[in-house]
Amino acid sequence: MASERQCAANRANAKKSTGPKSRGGKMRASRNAVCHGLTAGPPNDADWLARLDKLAREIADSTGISFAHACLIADAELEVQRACEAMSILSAELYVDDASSKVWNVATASPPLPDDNICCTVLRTLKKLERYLVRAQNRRDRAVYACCGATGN
Amino acid sequence: MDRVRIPRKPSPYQLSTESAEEHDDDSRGVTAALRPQNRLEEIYAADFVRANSYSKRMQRASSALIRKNLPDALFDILIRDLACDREEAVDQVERWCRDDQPAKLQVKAILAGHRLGEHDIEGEALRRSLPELLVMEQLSASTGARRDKALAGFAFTREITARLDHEKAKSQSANQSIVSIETPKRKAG
Repeated sequence: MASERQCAANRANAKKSTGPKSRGGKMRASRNAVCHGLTAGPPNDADWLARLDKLAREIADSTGISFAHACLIADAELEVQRACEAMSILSAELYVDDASSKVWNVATASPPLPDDNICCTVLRTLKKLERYLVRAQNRRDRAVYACCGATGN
Repeated sequence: MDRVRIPRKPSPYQLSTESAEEHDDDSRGVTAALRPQNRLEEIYAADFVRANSYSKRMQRASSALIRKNLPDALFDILIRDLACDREEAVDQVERWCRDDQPAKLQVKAILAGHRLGEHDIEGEALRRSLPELLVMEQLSASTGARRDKALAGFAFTREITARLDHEKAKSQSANQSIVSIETPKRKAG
């Protein structure tokens, strides 16, 4: 555990750090916590609302559950679709180098650092997206179970 | 009369190595097998198809990754294990990558001279791509779980729908007056 003196020194040193100064640096730092951007939520525009309304109506008409419940399911399902689309686009990045596999350059022969490898970066983001997708699906399933359970009982 | 086939516009999420027909066939096969009866069931069926095609894409990505590492693996083997001259190794690998048949035979002969084969190149490429393959394997496992869960969700929805239909039919029959069928009395003796 840090002593009282060390804590004071840490606090004094922290005051010296004022963060990024340039505009580019500030912009970069503002995105430090961004993983994939999906948690920011969907665009709340007319197109999204129309899609939500259409899907909710289809669910309500075909299953007989109330429109309010159907809206909850539709909202969660659209979130699942959004995450799936993002994963699909990102997973295509894994094939970017595939076309150039016939050309080999000695400069790239040495093993690249794991963090410099584009494949590693894509895979790391894909893992985060996968986690987000599973959570979105769980949310949708919970909505389905709750609605169907309420209707069934 | 022959059916007119409308050329399908490729989806932006479709890779050049993937065929739209294969995806459509998968989707049609799943729909034919599960026969979704309402929109919720359709959603779960679509989930299943999506997870399936994503899983296939991951498998292809793993082989593409190993393929991508083959030249580096060969270079490593030539330099590290066989102690070849660097310039000679660069030349060999460059020609080997271009599918140059004499170069391929030459590499095969060099490897055979040291009791090695083309499998060793693949093995080395596999070793080099292990960290990425591990993540891909985890993603594939997760996708498999999602696919199973989609089926479980489908089964749940179907069960609930069946129960609702059954209750509806029961209440309808309760509201209607039931005409009793008189059984003919048997004569004694």
